[in-house]
Amino acid sequence: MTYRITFAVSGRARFLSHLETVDTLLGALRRAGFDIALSKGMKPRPVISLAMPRAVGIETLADMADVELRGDHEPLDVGERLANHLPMGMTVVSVEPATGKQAASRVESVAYRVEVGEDVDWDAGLAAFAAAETCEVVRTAPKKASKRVDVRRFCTALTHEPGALEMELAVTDAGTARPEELTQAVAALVGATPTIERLVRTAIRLREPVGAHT
Amino acid sequence: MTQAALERRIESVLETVQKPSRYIGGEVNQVEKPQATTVVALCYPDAYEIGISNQALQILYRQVNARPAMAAERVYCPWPDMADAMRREGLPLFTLETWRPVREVDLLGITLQAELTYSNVLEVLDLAGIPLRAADRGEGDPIVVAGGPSASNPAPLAPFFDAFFMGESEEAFEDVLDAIAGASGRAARLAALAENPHLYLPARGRREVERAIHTEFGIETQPIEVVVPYSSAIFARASVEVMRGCTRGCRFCHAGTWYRPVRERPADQVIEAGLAQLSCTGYDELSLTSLATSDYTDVVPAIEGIKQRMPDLHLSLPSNRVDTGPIAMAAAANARQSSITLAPEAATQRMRDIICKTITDEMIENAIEAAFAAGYTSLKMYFMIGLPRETHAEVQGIVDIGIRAREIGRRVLAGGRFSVHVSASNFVPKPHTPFQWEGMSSRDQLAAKQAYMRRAMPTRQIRLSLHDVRTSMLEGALARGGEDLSDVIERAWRAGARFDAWTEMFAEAAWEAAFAEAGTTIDEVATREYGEWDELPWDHVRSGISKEFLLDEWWQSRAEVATGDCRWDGCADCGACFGPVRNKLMH
Repeated sequence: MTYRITFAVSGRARFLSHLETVDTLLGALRRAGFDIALSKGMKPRPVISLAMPRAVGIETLADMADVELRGDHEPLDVGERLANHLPMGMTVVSVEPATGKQAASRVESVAYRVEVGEDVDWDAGLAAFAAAETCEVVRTAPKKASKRVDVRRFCTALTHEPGALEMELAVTDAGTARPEELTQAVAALVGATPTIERLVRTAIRLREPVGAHT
Repeated sequence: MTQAALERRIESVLETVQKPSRYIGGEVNQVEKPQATTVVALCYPDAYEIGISNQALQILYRQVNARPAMAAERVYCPWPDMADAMRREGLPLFTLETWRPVREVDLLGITLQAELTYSNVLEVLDLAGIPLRAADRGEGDPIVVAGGPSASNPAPLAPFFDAFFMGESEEAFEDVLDAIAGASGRAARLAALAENPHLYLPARGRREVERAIHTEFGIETQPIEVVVPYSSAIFARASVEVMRGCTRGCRFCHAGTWYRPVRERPADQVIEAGLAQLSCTGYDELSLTSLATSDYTDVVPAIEGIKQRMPDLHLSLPSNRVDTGPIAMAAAANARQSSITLAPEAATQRMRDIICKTITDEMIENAIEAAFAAGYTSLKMYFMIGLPRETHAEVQGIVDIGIRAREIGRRVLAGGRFSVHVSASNFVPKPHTPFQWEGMSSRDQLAAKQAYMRRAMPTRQIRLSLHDVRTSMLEGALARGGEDLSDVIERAWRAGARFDAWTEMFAEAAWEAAFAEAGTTIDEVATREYGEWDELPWDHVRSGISKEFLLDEWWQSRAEVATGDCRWDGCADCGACFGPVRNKLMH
């Protein structure tokens, strides 16, 4: 049976990579006594997928993992036993049976809270951003050519409160934007360079039929 | 700087470096003891993913933490991007458990598992803010102790350590911990350590020091709740040491002499320890470790007992003898595994007699055939080149065995997909072995032999791996060097050498310049032959194996005669079994 585990990552555990997060979840499930189903084929692997990779250093309040366990278990029991075996900085938010397509193929948007310095006129920046048709940033990555990305097209919500920006970024076939890119783009519209103090993924929303998960 | 401020600044630096999980700690089974009155930092001077897999430090971690008032905390060598950031931000090297500055601990233990980590030892000391040389340390500095197999020649690093601990920690290191806990201040602690027979304190002059041996080798010293590394570790699996020591007597092998005599653990205890470790780590693989697991008397009952309880478990048996029996054992242990490794070490009977590897051509061929017949589709074979008195026939022999393995694979698997992987490392003579008097093969010879193998080895279905001659030469120079190399090591480190075992990091020019300044070269030191009457830099370290036995073995190698294995062929009088210390076999 496949379970959708919603979990949070905070503190130093935010420095775990995507693969390390997966391995940490698998190890905790095994220590909790669960038998994880293996894929078929020559090199069987545990059947697990995370809805959305998390960049190293970003905290999350609600990431999702779909994992297939052998046998039927009460979701509440899965959650309680798993919670007892996760390392410091990782906690279980909820566990529910997963039906239909895996969450990884149904991510509609991701919400972030970006804690920022107040040395930028964010309200002016947000106004300029709302008025702009496009807003491009240059995305760089090691061993890859840099490319220009219009972050405006991915932003479905953006608000400012003292010390933080709240944003929602669509995940499309053409990709998505990163929260720090959007933050930098908004600040750049008013000629500023932002100070990002903390990045928190606050929700992953899935397309129907399951409905929104927050 | 307050601890809270230090932690904020470390977190800020972690945002900017590769693989920050190397530095965060907090793994499953980590032990935190904030109330401990004595703190021991245990350091593996390489990257986290290498060091966290080391079993010796897991043993020490458990041993120190078993004391209520003592805490063990881990530290590894920061990768250069982290080291640069720490220096830029003025951050000291810190332990993983508490992010405590390493300089504040009472004892800093550094394991020397390989010579190519020596420059990292200085990097660790410098980042910690501990004076490099023991003579420059003050009352507030920790006692810095080396251990591990490479400490068996303490000379090259002697000025940088307060003490070298020789041998196995399980029993004898208790006295070291008592001395540290029972005295306060550096001078008093060093005085308390001075008479320990297993410790060499360079500042107090060269004196004889004995290797410590864990005579009982009971299961209670096998760590169960081991720290579970994040997934980047090179070995992420449960492991139980089924046997320590090896009686095979391969003349090139440092571990083969350094860990004598052989001590085995009963199968029922191995099974229980393995299952317990799986349960509290969450690993899905268990390794039964030793220097030659197929020689372990109870290997079959151990495999059967574990498979009975966990039929689907991935069970691995490293270091198997080249024979059909061990192949069948390995296949029975793990039906999912598609690759198997054999280590003939040398390709001709003559060379196997020289190095005392007591296997025949027929056994090798039978093992290859058995491996493919058992369903393995990837066969790895390890060899060495540059061995003493090697001729072209030995190098050609490696090529021939690679080709022969391919022929056997084609016949047995009848058109199925498979690959043969031939790996040839460069022989490096090590202290305390019968080849300790031998010089390394020259750089040119090794390069020529490698070039020939690249030309002669077919590439279809055969993959050839060769080791970097440059780093092998440095390893050879450091392994048998004297105290005069300490200045060379420091100069090389100051010129940027670190992580020398990582090919992309190897700063060859820094090492060449450092040796040149000492009026010598890497090659001159590495290829140096010692005479049988020469005093060797490590002669004052008593391994338990007599020098007469090593000499005799060296002469036997020159006569191209192998010596029997004392497990089956009678005692060869190596000196390892003495008083209560004896081979401890299950049957």
